[in-house]
Amino acid sequence: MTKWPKLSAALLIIALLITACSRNAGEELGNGNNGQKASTDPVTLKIVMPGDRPADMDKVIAEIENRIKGTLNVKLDVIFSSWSDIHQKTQIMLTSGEPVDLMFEAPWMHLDSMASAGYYEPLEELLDEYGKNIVAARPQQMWDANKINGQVLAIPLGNSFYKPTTYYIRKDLREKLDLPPMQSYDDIISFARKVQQQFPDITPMTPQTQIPMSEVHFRLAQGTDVMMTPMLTDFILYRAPNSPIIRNMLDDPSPVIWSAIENARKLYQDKIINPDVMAIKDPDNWVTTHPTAVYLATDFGLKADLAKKLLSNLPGSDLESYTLFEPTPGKNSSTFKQWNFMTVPKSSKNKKEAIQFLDWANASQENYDLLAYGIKGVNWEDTGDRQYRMLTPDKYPWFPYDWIWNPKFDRLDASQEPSAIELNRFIMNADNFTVDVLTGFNFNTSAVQNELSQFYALENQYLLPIYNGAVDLDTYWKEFSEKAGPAIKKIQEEGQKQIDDFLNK
Amino acid sequence: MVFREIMRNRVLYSLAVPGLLVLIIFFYLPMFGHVIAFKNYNYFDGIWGSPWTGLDNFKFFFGGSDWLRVTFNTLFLNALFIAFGLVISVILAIFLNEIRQAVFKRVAQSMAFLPFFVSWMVVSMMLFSLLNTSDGLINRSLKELGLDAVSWYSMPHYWPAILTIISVWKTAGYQAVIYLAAITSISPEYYESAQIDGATRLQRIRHITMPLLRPTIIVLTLLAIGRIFYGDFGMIFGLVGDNGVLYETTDVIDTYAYRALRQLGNFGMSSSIGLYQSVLGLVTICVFNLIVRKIDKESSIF
Repeated sequence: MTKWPKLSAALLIIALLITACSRNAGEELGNGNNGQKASTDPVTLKIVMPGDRPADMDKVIAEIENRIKGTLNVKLDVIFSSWSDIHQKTQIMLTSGEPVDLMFEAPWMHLDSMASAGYYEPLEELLDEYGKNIVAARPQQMWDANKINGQVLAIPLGNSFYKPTTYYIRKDLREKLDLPPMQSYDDIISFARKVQQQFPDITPMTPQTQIPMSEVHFRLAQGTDVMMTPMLTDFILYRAPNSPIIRNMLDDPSPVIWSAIENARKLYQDKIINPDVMAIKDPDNWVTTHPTAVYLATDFGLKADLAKKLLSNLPGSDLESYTLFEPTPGKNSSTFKQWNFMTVPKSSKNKKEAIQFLDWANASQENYDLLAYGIKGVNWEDTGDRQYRMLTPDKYPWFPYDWIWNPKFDRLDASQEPSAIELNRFIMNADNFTVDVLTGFNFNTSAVQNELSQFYALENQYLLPIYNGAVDLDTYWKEFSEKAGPAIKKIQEEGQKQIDDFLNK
Repeated sequence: MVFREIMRNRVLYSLAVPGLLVLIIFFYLPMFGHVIAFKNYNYFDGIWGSPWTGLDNFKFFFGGSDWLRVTFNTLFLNALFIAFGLVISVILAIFLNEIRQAVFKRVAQSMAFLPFFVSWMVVSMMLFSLLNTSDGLINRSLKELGLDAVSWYSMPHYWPAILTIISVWKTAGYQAVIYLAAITSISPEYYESAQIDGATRLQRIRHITMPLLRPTIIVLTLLAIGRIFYGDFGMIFGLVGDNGVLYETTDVIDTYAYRALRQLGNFGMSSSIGLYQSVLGLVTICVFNLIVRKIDKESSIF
C-alpha cells in the first residue's frame, strides 16, 4: 500500500517533465502591434544574430543610437549567439514565443520550416510602408528569387549572385618554367605536368576530400555547359544551362562530365593529383608544409590569409590566381538565391520599428558603412572607389552578412588583387546574369527523404573518390550505379515533377 | 516493509536521490524518445503530436544493402577492440603490479595512461604523419629498406588491424588502471602463503591473480558488449573521415547514419538507427549475461 503515493508522485513528475518538453509551440505567438508602448518611451529592438560579440560593438551601437536620435526612437539590444548554438537557440526562442524583433535566418538553419509554420511576419506591407530603402538596396531579381511560398517572409542578405572558385597557381614555378599566365584548364594541367618533371619534390595538384572541392566538381562548376540541379549538388544529376530538364549521368551520361571523370582518374594515376588526396583532413594546413603547385579555393582572387599561409614556409615563392569564370554579361545564369536572411518573428511587439530601423540602415552609404564596417577612421578607412581597408579586424570584424549585406552599398576589400575586385564587382550586378529558368524554385525533399539519405551515404563512399580519380573507375562506377541508381532515379523523377509543376504555375 | 526500511535509513537513502534523478532524467525519460522512430517528427507538433508513419523511418537503412555491411563492421571492429583491449590491458595491469620499484611503477603507469587523454583529432594527425604516402614515417622507412611504399589510405583491408592497434594503444592503459585497482585489493596473505609453499611468480599470477580478477573482467567485458553495436564515432570519423575508399571495412552504423542524415536533419530516421542499436545491444547483453550465468553465476550482472 505504501508504494502507491511514491509511485504516483514519480509518475506525476515524469508526466510534468514530458509535457514541459513537448509543449505545443504555436500557442504563444504574439499578435502584431497590439502591445506597443506609449510613443515617448524609446523602443528597445532585440536583434539576434550569429557570431561572437565584437569588442567595439557597444561603441558602434552608441553611434547608431546617436545618429538615429530624432528620426527614430529606438534603442538596440544586439544578442550574439555562437555559430554552433545559433541554430538551436533561435529555434527555441521562436517556439517559446520570446519577443525578438529581428532574427537572423538561413536556408541552412530552419528558414523554410519555420517560415512555413508561420513563425515569421509576412513583410510585403511593412516594407511598402516603412521599408522602401530596404527594397531599393536589393535588385528585384533578389526579391523574386527568395520568396517563400510566394511571400516575402525574410529580407535577403547578400552582395552577389554567383559562387566563384579560383585556382591558386605557384607563380614563381610558372615563371621558372617559362610559361605564360593560365588561359584555360588545359594550361593548368600542362603546367602541373611540367612541374612534375622539373620539380619532383612538389605535388603538382592538391584537390580536397569534399565534393565541391574535388577535381571533377571544381572543374565543372564554372565555365562549362553543364549545370547542377536543385536536387543534388553534384553532377550526377545535371542539366544544360538554363534548362528545366533534369538528366541523369547513370542512364543519359553527359560526355563533358564523363570526360572530366576519366581525366581525374588519369591525373591520379599519373600522380599529378596528390596521392594522399583522400586522406588529408586539413588541406589548408597540409599544403603549408607540403608544397603544391596548383591548389583550389573558393572566392575570386587570393585570400590574403590563405595565400600567406601557403607561402609561409617557402621563401622566394609567389602565388597568382586563375578562375574558369568568364565575366561576359549575359553569358552566365543565376538563380539569385541568397544564403543569409533577416526576419521579423511574429512574436515581435515592435515590427514597425524593426523595419524602420533596417530601413534607416539601408538608406545611405554612411549608415550602411557604420553597421557593416564600424566607425570610420577607427575600425576602417575608405580607400575610394567603394573599397575599404580594415584597421581593427580584431575589434570589429567583417560581418555585414549578419544583418545588413546588400549589393548596393557593399564595399570591396581593398587588399584584394585588382582583377579580383573587378570580378567581384561583376558578380554584384544582377543585370550581368541571365535569369535562370529555375529561379525561385525550391526542391521539397519530403517525398524522397529515404532516397536522399541513401544517396548521401553512398556519395562520399563512391562519388568522392571517383571525383578525385582515387579509385578504379570501372568497378567503382558499376557498384555505385547498382547501389545508388534506384535512389537517384527516384530523386530525378520527383525533382522533374516538382519543376514541371513550378513552371506550369 | 520497504517503506519502514526507507524511513529508518532515510538519510542514507536520500544520498541516492541525486543519482536516481540523473538516471531518470537522462536515461529513462529519453527512452520515450524512441517513439520518434515511428513518427514523422516535426518541431511544431512535438513528440506526441507528430503523425505516425509506421516503419517508414527504417526504410532508408534497411532498404539498401549496406545495413548488413555496416552492422557487421560495427560488430567486428568492436569485438576486435574488446578482445585485444581486454588481453593487453590485463597483461599490462599484471606487469605493472609486478614492478617493485615504486617510482618506476608510477611513471610506467602514467605513460600507459597518457594516450587516453589524447583527442581523436590529434591521434588522426599522428596517424597521418606515420602512414601518408608523401613523407610518412613508415613509408619512408620502407623505402630506406628498399621496399615499396604502401598506400595505406587506399587499402581498406589493413584498417581493422590499424584501428585495433590504435584503440588498444589509446585505451589499454586506462583499463589497466581498473584491473590494477582490483589486483591491489587482493589480500597479500594469499601471495605470502603461496610464496612459503614455494610457488613461482608465474604460478602466483596464474592461480591467485587471474581467478580473483575474473569477476572484474567479466563485468567490464559485459558492459563493453552492451555497447557493441555502437561504433566509436569520434574514433572512426576522426581517423577515417571522408575517405570513402576505406568505408568497405571501417564504415560503422554511426558513421553511416551520420553521412546519410547530416544534410536532412530528419529526427525520425536518426531515432530509428538509435532504436536499432539499442535493441541489438539489449539482445547481446542478455545473451552474454545468460552465458556468463551458465559458467559462473556469481559474476553475472543480473
